[in-house]
Amino acid sequence: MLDVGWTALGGATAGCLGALLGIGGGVLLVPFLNIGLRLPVQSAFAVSLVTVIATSSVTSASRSRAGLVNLRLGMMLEIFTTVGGLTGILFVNHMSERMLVGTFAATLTGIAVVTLMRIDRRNVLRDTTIDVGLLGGRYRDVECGELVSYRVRHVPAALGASFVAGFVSNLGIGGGVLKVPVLNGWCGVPIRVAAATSALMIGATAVVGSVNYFIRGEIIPHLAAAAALGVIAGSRVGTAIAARSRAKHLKGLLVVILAGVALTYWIKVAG
Amino acid sequence: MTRSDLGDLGNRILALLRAGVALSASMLGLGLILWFAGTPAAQPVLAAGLVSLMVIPVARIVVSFVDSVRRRDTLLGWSTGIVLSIMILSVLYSWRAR
Repeated sequence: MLDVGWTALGGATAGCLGALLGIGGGVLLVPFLNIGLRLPVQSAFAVSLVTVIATSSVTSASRSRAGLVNLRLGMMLEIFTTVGGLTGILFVNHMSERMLVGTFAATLTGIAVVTLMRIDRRNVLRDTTIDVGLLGGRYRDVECGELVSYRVRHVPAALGASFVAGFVSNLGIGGGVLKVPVLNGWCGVPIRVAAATSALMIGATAVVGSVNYFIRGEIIPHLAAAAALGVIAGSRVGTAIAARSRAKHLKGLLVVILAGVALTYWIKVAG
Repeated sequence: MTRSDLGDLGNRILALLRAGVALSASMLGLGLILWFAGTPAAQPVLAAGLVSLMVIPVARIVVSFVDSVRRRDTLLGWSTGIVLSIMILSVLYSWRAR
């Protein structure tokens, strides 16, 4: 019974930070469930993946976020994410716990390095008359208070990142933690648009892995329910805070979280 | 959504997401209360809540697909159609491999 309370609290924290950064929050919830509550790693992945759907649905249902979503870009990338998710299922069902944990730690380390290298990057263009192309867009930027434009570049990098994100989504994370830095760092997408678009996409990504875990009976229903309800509450708080936060601070927070979780899991792999 | 030519699709998705979250949260909350009470009805209610949560993103893609076909938006139509097909494939694979 105590576990249900802790899981709900962990879900609320993961949901809040996840909504703030455009990630599912799974990157925080997996170590909390696996190391904190001593759940087997597969069950931690399964419960976490369910909460990613909750974070995605709540944050994308916010009107402030909806205006930022690039639906065309998101849907196109979703093809590669779901293919990655399906490919991941083929592997994850046959990997040992040590291999799963090692893959998880390596993924997070790589993303932390990429995000840190591109922390000062801003992709907004003040000229609203330019042609933004088929995948670009315009939105009202809260930091400068003006209508701004952006173009999407290096689309193959976004497609590749989406495939890998889908693959690693089977490790209990929505993959937003990978897509947001790549979209922002390489593809010209402003951090807020990247976060909002990723938040919408991760729900679809997480469905692929969640259904696999659900059918295999890996999801512990009462813990998943507690985590999902915690996430739904926490996501609302995170979405409200995100609208008032500075882009650089959001990225800095993402790097600290990634580095901390990656270090924890490297220690676990070494031990 | 960032492009005005997507019409009312953004509003439809917003309404769908809100309704889906409210429904699944109610079922999960009820399931959790029943679980605390120790009744056998808890498991099917919790399972229904989890399934309803998983259906939200699928329903969002179905709505986008129907809308894109109606507006003849080729890029969005193909994208959503392919994603739906992959989702169905992954469910079938998971079911067979269980």
